Amino acid sequence: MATSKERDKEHGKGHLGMNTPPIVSQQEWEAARLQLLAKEKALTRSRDALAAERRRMPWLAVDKKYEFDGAKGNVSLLDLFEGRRQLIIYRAFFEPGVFGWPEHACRGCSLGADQVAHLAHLNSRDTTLAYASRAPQADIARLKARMGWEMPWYTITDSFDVDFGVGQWHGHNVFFRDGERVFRTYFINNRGDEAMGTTWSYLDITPLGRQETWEDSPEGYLQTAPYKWWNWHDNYHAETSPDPKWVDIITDPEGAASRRRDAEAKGCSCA
Amino acid sequence: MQLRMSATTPPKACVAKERTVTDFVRDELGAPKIVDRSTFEAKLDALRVREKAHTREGDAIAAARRRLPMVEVDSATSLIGERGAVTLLDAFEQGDIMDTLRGLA
Repeated sequence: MATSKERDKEHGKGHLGMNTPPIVSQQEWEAARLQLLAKEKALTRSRDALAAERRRMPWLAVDKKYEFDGAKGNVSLLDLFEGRRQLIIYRAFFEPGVFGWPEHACRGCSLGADQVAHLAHLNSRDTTLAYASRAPQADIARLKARMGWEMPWYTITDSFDVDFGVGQWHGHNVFFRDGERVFRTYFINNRGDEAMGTTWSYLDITPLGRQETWEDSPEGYLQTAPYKWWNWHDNYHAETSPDPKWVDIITDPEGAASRRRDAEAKGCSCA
Repeated sequence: MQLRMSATTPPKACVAKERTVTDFVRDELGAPKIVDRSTFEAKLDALRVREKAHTREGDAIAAARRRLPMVEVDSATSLIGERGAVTLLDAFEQGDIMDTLRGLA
């Protein structure tokens, strides 16, 4: 069987100087896309299955009392949860000796920081994201202002990085809090890190997951319906339970649309 | 947020010490277990093999995506931008990406 590269040679190089794929009709393109879509859906399912495995990972108790410097002074690992049940800590390289210091953090870590989604969504699923580096807080505050980053970012003061596999290389550690007890539940690095940044990629590495009813989670885990908990990032605090109109749209999209049209026909803009 | 507690939770009078969510998870759900570091690392390594296979599969699909055929579209298609009417061609914002790539090579 011909390899992809061999097949590519069947098409001559055009004026772009590379072997571009054939130009086809809309119909042919759609057929080719649907073939690939089947593979993409299989990949999505296998990602869901991996996340389900992660939710069944055993936990490691964290007994050592780690301390960090934060924007408001000295804090413990427990404080980093900000009262939430789940915590993801990304170890970013920003310290003397790292390329870019002191103006910039490591380029890869900076690219990662640029793709962090608005944290209101993650926070609303009882999950906190924090960055941690060796740089002092004054440098971290300056870096955040310069680059427009707003995630909590702490200074590592002890063996936290070495103990959790991020002494020499970046990585995401996941922790779970039960009262004052803390557990390490997962760790991801290398190519795993590059996929992080979206609300979903973060939740998929946590022990509770997205907390949605369709997920394969251990029995007894709290789950709510997908879509219904979604909100605008500036509206989670104002609206503590889902807006009935939004729930209506999610539950019965066609019915909701028809009810809206009826209301508009009656000259009412309230629906 | 609380993990859902089952109806089997005994009445308070029978409980000597308040049970934590972790106790509940460990005793009644059987998962996840609290383990020592070497067991944790071994489980992580086992899952890592599947993680990497998944990454490679994603790379293979991206490679297939780069080989999808293309459909020609009208580059003069009109769009309205912040500064008024533009064409689909304008929306690319730059000249030739190949020039950029060649510059980096």
